[in-house]
Amino acid sequence: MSGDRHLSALTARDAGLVACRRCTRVWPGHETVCGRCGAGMTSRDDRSLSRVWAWWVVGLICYVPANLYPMLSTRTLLSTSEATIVGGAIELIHHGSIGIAIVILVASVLIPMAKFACIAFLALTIDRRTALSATSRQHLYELVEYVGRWSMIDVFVVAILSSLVQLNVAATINPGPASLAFALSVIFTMLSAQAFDSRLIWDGIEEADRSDDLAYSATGRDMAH
Amino acid sequence: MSDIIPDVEVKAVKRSIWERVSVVWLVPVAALAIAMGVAWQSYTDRGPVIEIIFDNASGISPNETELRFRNVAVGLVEGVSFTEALDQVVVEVRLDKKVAPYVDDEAQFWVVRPEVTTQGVSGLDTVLSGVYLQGVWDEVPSELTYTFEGLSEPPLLADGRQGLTITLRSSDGSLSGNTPMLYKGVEVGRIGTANVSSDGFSVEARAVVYAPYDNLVTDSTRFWDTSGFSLSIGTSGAAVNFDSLASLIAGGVTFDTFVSGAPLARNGTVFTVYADDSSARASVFDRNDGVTLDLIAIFDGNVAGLTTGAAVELNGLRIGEVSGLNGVVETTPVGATRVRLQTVLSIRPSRLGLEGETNAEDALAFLQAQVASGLRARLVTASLLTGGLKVQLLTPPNVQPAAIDMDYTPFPRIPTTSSDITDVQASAQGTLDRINNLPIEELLQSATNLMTNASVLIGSADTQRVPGDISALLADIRAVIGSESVQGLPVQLSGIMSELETTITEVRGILSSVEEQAVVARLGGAIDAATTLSTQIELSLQGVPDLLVQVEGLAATANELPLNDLITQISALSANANTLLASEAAQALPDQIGRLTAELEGTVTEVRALVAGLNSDEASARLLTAVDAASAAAASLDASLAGVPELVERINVIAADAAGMELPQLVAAVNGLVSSADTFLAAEATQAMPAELNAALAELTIIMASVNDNDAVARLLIAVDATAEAAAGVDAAIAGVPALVEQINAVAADAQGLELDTLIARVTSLIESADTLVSAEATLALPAELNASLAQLRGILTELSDGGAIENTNAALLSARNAADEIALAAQELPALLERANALLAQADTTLSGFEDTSPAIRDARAALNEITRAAQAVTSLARAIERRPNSLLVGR
Repeated sequence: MSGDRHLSALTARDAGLVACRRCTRVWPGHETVCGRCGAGMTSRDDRSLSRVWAWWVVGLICYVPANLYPMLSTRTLLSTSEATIVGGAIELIHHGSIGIAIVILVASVLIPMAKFACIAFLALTIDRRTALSATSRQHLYELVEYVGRWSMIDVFVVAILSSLVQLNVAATINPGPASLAFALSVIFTMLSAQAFDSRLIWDGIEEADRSDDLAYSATGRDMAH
Repeated sequence: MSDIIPDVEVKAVKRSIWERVSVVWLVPVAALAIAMGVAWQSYTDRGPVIEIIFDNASGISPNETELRFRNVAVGLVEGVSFTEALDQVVVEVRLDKKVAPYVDDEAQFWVVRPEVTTQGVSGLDTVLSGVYLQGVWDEVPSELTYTFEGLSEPPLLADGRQGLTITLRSSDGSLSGNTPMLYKGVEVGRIGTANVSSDGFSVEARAVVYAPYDNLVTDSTRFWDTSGFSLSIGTSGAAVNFDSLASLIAGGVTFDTFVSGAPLARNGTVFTVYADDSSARASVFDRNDGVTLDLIAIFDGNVAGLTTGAAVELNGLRIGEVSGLNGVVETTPVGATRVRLQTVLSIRPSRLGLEGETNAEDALAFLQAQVASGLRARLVTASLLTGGLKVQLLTPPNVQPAAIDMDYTPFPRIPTTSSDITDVQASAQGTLDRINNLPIEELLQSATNLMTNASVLIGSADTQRVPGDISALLADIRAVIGSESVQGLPVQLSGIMSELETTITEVRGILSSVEEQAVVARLGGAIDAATTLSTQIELSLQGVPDLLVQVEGLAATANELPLNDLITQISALSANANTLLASEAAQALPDQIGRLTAELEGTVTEVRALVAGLNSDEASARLLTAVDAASAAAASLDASLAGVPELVERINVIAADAAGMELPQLVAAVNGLVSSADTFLAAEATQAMPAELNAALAELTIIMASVNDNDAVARLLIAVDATAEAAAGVDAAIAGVPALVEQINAVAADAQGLELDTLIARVTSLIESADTLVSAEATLALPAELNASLAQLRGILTELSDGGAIENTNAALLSARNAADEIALAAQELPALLERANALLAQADTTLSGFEDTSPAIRDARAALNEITRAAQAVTSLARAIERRPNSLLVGR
């Protein structure tokens, strides 16, 4: 057995098993299709990381016009106004609705940005030892995947406003091009988070442990002599 | 075995790129490509940015304001900034790529804002949506220009319509901007804003005539102003007309081509706008090419009423106008300075009518020749009502030689002559003042009173009765005259005359044997005198009917008189005369006279027999004396009556003059006179006179019948003596009558030339004296005395008839002598009366001769008449001027 700093858990790979990621049934390691839910099973998908990065990039690409183009176009009797996300939030602040502005900023700017950062961080720190422990990273991953969907709240707002305020000439609100882009961005980041295999976090730990072990054993043997 | 396991190089499996890289990477690649493609496309699809410079950017906001062409958005304003000098605003507009090639340097841009004008409301949608820029360019693509000057208002050919662009010019205010252009009531174009031209003399505006109406405008088209409305008053009534509501409020210009054959107008042609239709038509033949010949004319006197623009006329044709007025200081030859009016006359050479193309030099040469032959300039009245003046070139008679002063600055000077200005206003005012001062009210009052009195007079019962009375009187007279005896009178008288003639012939035959031829001659002279006397009486009485007519007229037009009393008096008088004539005695008079004449006839036959037996010279001598006396009496009567026709004529004239005058006192006096005459006639004595006369004649008849004795001759002789004496007395009595008649004549002559009211006063006093004279006791007593004499005679004759013939005859003849004496005595009183009348008349004569002919009233009347004549002349000329040109009332000459 390993030293007391070693994990004493048994990984599925070591045990020669593979779990279905969808329905979590464990199957023997050579199975490729889950017999229960029909999902494809792989022990480790080496291409998952590239998928994560791909979706991440698309989401980022789509995030740019989401901020540049107007989210809502309001047409009243007198004028037509179009507001981007940040511009609208600023206007709300000017009008005095700070709370709503904070909500919009958090939901439409902070969270997508944080998601990008987190997914990038998670993807980058798979093989390295960082300050955050694996447990924390696992928690972070869980958080990201859970909270990510709530970025769509902005799109919901736009959709509800557009469907409600259709008063012909008096006032008409139409979604702008940014709403589509934002929705796409959120979708892509969600796909990116989904594509991330969290087992890779732990695989990295094992590797690190083994390398530690090796280094320790090497040094230990030297010290033993 | 102790084999050392060789170190196997462990290498990681190199997997293919497809195994490492997920296929999902295609998505970002595609997304990136799409993004890039979209970005690239939008970049390349962007049109160019043009800059439009405005004075201010009111309502223009970046990324909102659109640029539209034919109301289709073709661009967007991207930025608004200032020029370097901060005096204008630069608006950057990004054009659509598709329209960019068409935006060349002829494109125009302006801001569309809401506008409310008389032509309507436009651009209202910009109130809600904000202003936008509108541009117009042609459909020919060419080089793109990047900088434009924005217009401050829409151009005339907005919306890309085709049309003809012209410039309209006006110098008399006929042109106002932003008005429609009409042709026969249809709007065919628009006029832009009006600006004052650079030389400050005229107003110019761009105008556009839309296609297809631009074919109607040729080089000889004339434009005129139709703004407002026109009011015309003519023989057919008043008419108001205006072209359209817009032209009523804001004005409008219309045009028409009066002559054909001119080419179509091109863009940019300048046209003049005339004030109205007629001046536009008149200008068609007026080659107004601007060439004018300017001359100076200096006028004397007060020329208020001459204004710039007044006409200059030659032979009635307007050849130019006054273009300037100013004063010029001149030094007279004496050395004093005075200011005279210097006018500048602008003459158009084309109006002079010279052959060929005329320019200023030809016109000047022509005028120089005219001035040398006497042409001068003078001011005449152009409009009587407004007092406007115009300059007239004419050749007055008796003109001093003069020439155009070519060295005068600034223009050549034409000589002038005296002006012909009628100041109608002053004359009319003076006329009105004179008419005002006429005492029309008093005249009307007098006439009204006259009418009232005349009506009262005519309506009074007494007046109504007078014609009845007069007709009754005339009926009586007619009865008297028509009675058989009077009818038979002329026959009898003619028989008597024939008898007398034969008698006298026999007497002549008798006396021819007498030695004294002078008897016959004297008898003949007596007869001649009697004949002349009768002719005189005839002449003198010729004027009486007229006189009576005049006096009738005089009485009929008397005013404010107590005519009623007069008329009652006259009616009473006529009644009395009527009774007098109607009295039995007067009725019986003709019978008596008839009987008397019958007896006279018998007597004459007897006398003839008597005279046949005559053989005494004494008888003839006495007869001669009697005849002499009778002839003398006749001659004196004749002489006395010589002046009567003239007198009657004068009285005629006086009566004619006196018609219409006030005669109060006269009538009162006449009243008194008539009343006296009335009493005279009504007196018993007068009434009894015909009876007495009747009785006397009856007695005479008896006497004549009973005269048969030879002694009758002697008695007859005695009677003849007495008659001679009586005749002499009468002769003496009436010796003063010619003088009286002369006096009356003189008085009448004086009275002819006098003021009639004073005359009437005098005549009134005269009549009063005459009245007193007539009513004097002596006169009143005359009929009584005559009556008494006649009664005496009657008594004598009664005695003669009753008693013994001789004694009676003697006594009768004695009585006859006494009667004759009494008559002589009575007649002797006549001179005294006549002397009194004479003295009275002399007094009247001296009083009346002191009057003069001149009187202020007649002078005033004459002056008033003169002024009325002058005023009538002025009004006539005014009426003639108005007749010829009724427009001159409003427009002036």
